[in-house]
Amino acid sequence: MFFQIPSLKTALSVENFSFIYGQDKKQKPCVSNIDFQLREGETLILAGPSGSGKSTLSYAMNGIIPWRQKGLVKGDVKIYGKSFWDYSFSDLSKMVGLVKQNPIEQLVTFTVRDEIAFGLENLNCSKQEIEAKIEEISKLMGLNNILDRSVEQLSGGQKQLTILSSFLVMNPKILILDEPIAFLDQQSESLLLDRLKSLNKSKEFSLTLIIIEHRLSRVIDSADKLVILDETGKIALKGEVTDILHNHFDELKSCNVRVPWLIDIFDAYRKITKNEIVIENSMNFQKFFNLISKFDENNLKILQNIIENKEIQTKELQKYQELEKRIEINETYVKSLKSKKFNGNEQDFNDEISNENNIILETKDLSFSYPNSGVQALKGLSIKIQKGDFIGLIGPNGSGKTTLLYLLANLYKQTSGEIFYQNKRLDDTDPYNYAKKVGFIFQNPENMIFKSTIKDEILYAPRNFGIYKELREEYVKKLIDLVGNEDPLKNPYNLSWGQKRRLNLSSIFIYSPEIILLDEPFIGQDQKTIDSLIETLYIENKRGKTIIISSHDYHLLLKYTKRIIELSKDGTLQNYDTKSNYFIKHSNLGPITLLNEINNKLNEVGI
Amino acid sequence: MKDKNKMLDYKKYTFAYFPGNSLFHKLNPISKIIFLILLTIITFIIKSLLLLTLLLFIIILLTFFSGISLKNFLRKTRFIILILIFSVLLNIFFNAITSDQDTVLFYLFNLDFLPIRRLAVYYALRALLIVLTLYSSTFIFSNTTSAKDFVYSLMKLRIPYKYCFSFMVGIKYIPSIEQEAKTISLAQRARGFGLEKANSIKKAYRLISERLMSTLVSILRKGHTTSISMENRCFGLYKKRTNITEIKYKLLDIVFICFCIFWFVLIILYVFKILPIPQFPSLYQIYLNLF
Repeated sequence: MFFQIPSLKTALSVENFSFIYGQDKKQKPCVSNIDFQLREGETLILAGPSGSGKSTLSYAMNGIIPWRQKGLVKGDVKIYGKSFWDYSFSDLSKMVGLVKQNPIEQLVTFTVRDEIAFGLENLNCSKQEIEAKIEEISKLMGLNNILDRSVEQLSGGQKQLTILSSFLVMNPKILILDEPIAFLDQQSESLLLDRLKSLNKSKEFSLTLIIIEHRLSRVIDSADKLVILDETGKIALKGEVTDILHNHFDELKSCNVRVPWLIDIFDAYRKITKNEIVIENSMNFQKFFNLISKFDENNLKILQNIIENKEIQTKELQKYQELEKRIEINETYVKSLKSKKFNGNEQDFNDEISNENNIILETKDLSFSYPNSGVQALKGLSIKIQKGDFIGLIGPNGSGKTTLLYLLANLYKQTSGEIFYQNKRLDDTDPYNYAKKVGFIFQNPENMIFKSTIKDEILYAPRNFGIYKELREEYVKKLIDLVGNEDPLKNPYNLSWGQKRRLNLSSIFIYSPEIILLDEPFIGQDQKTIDSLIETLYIENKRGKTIIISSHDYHLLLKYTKRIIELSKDGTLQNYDTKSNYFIKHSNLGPITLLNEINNKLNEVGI
Repeated sequence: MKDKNKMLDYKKYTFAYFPGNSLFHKLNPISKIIFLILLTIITFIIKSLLLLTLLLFIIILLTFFSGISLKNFLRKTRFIILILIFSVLLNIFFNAITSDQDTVLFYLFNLDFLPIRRLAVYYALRALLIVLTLYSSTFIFSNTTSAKDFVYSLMKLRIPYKYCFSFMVGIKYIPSIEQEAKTISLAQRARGFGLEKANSIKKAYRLISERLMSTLVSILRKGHTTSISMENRCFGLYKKRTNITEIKYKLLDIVFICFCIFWFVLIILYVFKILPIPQFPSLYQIYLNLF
């Protein structure tokens, strides 16, 4: 069998690079002493918490630094052996493309064809040349049938592919994708990642890819190298992906990135059995099943234990033990939790849903159409939500998740049907009093910041609700602390993205709402913030709050929530079930599938 | 997302594009711009109120001819009509009180301090007719011209492409900015502000200033990303750029422009009394004949 000799050309070399915004040398560098190389055709994953300088680094690679952004530079960034100082900004723009998170903010023209042509038009290419290139690239990216479609009519994935094509058509040497799947639903995400993989394989491009993403599980299977930055903007971990997965897996896990959980399980298995099994970075269910088909009964049992304990129980318990130390939770309550098996409290919950007294929110035949366009966002939705539930709301873009949350928060009025709050029609409830019962977290943290200090921001709702005087000073202080170690008089806009999100939580926890609704709260947040966010919600849920959280990140929801509401593309209810039932229905998901598979194998060997 | 990513909705926005297949839809935007310019000159030159009324009537007929329904037109015009009625009344009273040289037509309610004077009525009605004519013609233009065609025709008129794209991005952003502002107002309501109607100036100021600040921050962030994305695709690198979308002149455009110029010249000749055609009687003469 013949193998292609990999290219030895170094496409990108970042050499001891540091950058300070502004002219003050004493200021802390945004990124410091970054050093790594990337060969032509390789794929690098760049990860790290928000504010660690990932975007700054991407600007240094495509010329915005040093040519458009003022600041102090140390070290060098070399593209094909030549320093970024020796290129003009336009040369670097041509060589290094940068696709950002939100496709809507990057589309500047009206049709797919115009958007793809945008760069080439700016480069003054001839019309014939542009048309030929559009045809070539649209075929490769699967956009050839929708070239004349308005960009507004595209799905999120198609929009992102259009942006990607508009860079590819300029024939860049390096392409940087800054969290390209953050705004995409499951379907669009798969579409984009599949195309990226095929692009990676296509040798005519010899494209070097840099993907900025903290959810490693999504992108790691096609990556060659990994660079992880820490909060101070330094490199926390770097190297070849296979080497890191084999030899530095624990370090990787400590870097606040989401590691692929299949690999996580195998890593634990390897440590227990000291078995030298080969873990591929493209580990999927099929490969997993192939691998365990060779396992004997003993090994299968070990794996079963790992999945049951490690993946589900131990982790949850460990989390509670940690939380116990930090936050006052009733001790007996924690003990009762520890004594319960994984599905224990969920099962109790399941029984209680029939108890009418426990229903906090109920919708009957709920429909909503947008008044101007007449587009029906929700159709005939009937659900009962019980007090203290933790619900994940999933569905593709446009399935009405946000609309449902707005309706439940009484921010929109339904077109038809009814909503009941504690068996009373919501329309008959005083909106002012109902607002006190509901806390709403919007997708963009900045959309819910109105005041110029952290303290005022937290006290915004109590002042509006007239409960300001009833608040204890320690309670306010505790919620200020939740934001981070910050001065209460600091302007909220100067906080980091993750801190802004925590401030949002503080500003609704202050009035202690019974129901907490969250609309895509994880977009643009790093893993650490997501973890702390979900932990905080977990505790609030244990304190009896009802939580409904909508997200594309259904892996996360499936892991933490108790129940799943799934809406379909046309705004109807597709599924409303407990998490474990949902797993069973969707047998391609989660640890339950693995357990089933292992149980089948054990049955086969007669256990 | 359904409501977030749509184009300017013609049902909602007065000057948004209304898809159709009428004569005006088929015309090149430049032809329509020429029509608008000639019409504007004409409306300011014409002194006769009757001729202006006739012109307004023709423009309104053209509005229906361009596929815009009467209901749609009236719905979007009612606000401006209300303002115009108010301005006509103001014009009549203030001009009548301040200019005591002018002939008094009659006294309102037979009160000596409420004279209605000839020129005051004339100017008020003329302003009304001019504004309505220009509004209706702009309405036809914007409802039959897509933003894309308009922007590319501006480039064809050799307006620097950087300005044209700024305009284009601006138009594309209107629905998304509106959506953002709406979300921000919902965020205020969710935390108890604005649930009751603003009953004091201070509260109204707070409501608007908080909303504006938050929206502005969001626009600036979006704008930053857009500009980075455009610059990365070499926008503004050269003075000229290729445009694969080309706005072409058709025979229809040439016929239309000739038709417009013909009527423009004809009306000019008529207004300046070069053509031996009897002039329209003035409204004052008609008024005098009544008594």
